[in-house]
Amino acid sequence: MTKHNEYDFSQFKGQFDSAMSPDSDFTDRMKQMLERELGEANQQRTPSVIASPSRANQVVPTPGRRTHPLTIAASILAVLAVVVSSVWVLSGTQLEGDYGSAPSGIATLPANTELTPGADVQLSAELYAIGGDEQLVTVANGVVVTRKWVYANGQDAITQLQARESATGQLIWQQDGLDLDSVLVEEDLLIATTIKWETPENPNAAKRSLIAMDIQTGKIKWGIDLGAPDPNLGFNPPVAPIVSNNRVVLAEYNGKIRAWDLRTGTESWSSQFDQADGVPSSTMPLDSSGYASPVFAMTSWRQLIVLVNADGLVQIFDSATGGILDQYYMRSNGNGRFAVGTLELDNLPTGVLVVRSTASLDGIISNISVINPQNQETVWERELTGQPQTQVAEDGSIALNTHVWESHNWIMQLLRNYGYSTFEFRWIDSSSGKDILTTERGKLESPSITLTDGTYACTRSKRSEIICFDRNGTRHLIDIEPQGDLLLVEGILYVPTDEGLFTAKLP
Amino acid sequence: MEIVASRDIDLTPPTAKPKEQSRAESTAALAAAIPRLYGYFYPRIGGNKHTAEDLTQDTLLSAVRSGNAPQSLDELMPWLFTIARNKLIDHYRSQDRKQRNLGTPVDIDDEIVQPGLPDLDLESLPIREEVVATLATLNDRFRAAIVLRYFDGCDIATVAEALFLSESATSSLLARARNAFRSSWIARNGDAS
Repeated sequence: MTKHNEYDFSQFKGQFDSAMSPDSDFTDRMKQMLERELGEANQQRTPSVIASPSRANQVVPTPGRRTHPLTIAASILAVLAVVVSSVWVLSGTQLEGDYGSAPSGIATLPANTELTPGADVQLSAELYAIGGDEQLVTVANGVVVTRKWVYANGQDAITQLQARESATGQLIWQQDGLDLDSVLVEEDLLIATTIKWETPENPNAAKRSLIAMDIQTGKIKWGIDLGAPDPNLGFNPPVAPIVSNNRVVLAEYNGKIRAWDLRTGTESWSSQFDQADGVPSSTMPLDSSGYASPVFAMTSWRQLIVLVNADGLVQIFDSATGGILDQYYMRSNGNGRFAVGTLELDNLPTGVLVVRSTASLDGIISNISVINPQNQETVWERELTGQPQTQVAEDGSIALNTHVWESHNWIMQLLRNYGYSTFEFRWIDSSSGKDILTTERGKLESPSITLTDGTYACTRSKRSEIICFDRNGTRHLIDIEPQGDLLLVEGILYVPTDEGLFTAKLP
Repeated sequence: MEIVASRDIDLTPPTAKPKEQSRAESTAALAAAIPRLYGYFYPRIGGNKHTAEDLTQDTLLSAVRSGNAPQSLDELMPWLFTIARNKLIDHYRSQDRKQRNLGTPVDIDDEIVQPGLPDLDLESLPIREEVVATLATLNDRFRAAIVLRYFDGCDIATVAEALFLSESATSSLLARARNAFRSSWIARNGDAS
């Protein structure tokens, strides 16, 4: 390794601390926010607001939010569009006519022209709980769990979990110091991997754990010490846990797989996701300074545990014993390494959804396929352009957003505007791979949203507008600016914002 | 089997402390901090204006809602920067988690000798903007390492703690981050050595 020195970088110290003036409208909004917050703080406000049933029909004014000048103009255009037609304006790109198109790629499927776009429906979001800075952890079993940083004078921040009754917003439990990473809910248990700092004086003694928590009380039922984070892997946690056959199954980055009884935490079995003959394993620990992750993904399907790695190796384990039942290679793209981008698995009624993306000279290509682990068959597969983001609903429908970075021309680059992201949103019926609906590729300023619960599929059209499609193509519009991840659970959209957590009930 | 215990649950909602400063004074003091916080975030997240605004707003909200703001104005900015630093690390961590699936190929070729960076006239605004633009081309992990170590002057131990790495792994990460920065700088500006 060539020796490097830091001398030429030490010139940066202290050179990037100067004050900078943001846009004047941002400064004005911040001042208004400070006046409002400090006024409320002096009244010793409590951190949660009970959304009583009597407030169900009460519309809370949309919170103050950052309003880009273009958003104001776009909002006016959106109102006109609703009045005049049912055309959806996405940053200047119009979507007209049918909402389906035959997907290009390997599977040739008929175009979906049966949908009739309905009129746009404007929905309002209600304030569920005051308190910005909260991130949604999960909504399940009538409980909304959020996480935020809590600060004390000059001390490091700690994480705080809060759980509220979903119907009333009533705070039911609160925990400090647990930083949850991957989370899932199984029956009455919240299963999560965590990182916990031991003491402020010795933060390098941080420990990772796998816990099972009663979601109604916050009490930890059992926990497994996973040891200190591997310094060679940085703060990458293990592959997200799954539940299969009443066992919690967790895979480490080195391919070791373990299973514990869901109720007691007793270790059930351990196994290893191993490479095939003569093929370098993609599961070896990687140097901390570079990463290709996840090197494999895992899901459960019926009584099977399915793992797929970046080389396309599929290994299938018995969830009761951890024994290997089968292994084979998926068709690769012919470039040796199967995927250097996204690698995700999801559980569908008809098989296992495998989403993978590969970098090519033309950009990133996504391959979406459904495999039947019982007979090695590929049920269907498609190729799309762009980096995928997916969510699968219980009915197996798939919301899919593909993201492409597009460069500006040289004139714009002279103005330091190098490019922008574009997104194309689809809702796919997983039994056939057929589009339920699709949108034209459009430009967005902000990160995309990809949600579905099988009845609705939601995405983001503008920085402060969320669109939820129903299966008729009717667009339900919510004028709100989310901060962080959203959740769509049983027809209710949970939206964290700077003002607090809002909910919007979809009809 | 070790049970990971949590602290006893306190269901008492936190309440705000009575303010000794007048509300107008507190508002003015925090408002005066806006350009300093924005100026802290803007270069450190690669020059993304919207993200810098988001982080500035998050920092101010956390500061106000904590109810623990120092009464002394001399202590206010260091306290705000403590919150800002944590917001920045949380942002890096969140970005890393989201981009985890992007699977950046491992750059294991350390044998290429990279010429160093020239002495830069960082008083010049175009040069500073070019540094920020070069930083924007790096992945979040490299960016986090360079910002914490060289922009903020944190020692290796502090950077390691923030990124959950060992000190040796942090040194290795920093070497690769410098390499990546140099490569990008040279690609954008030519080799001035």
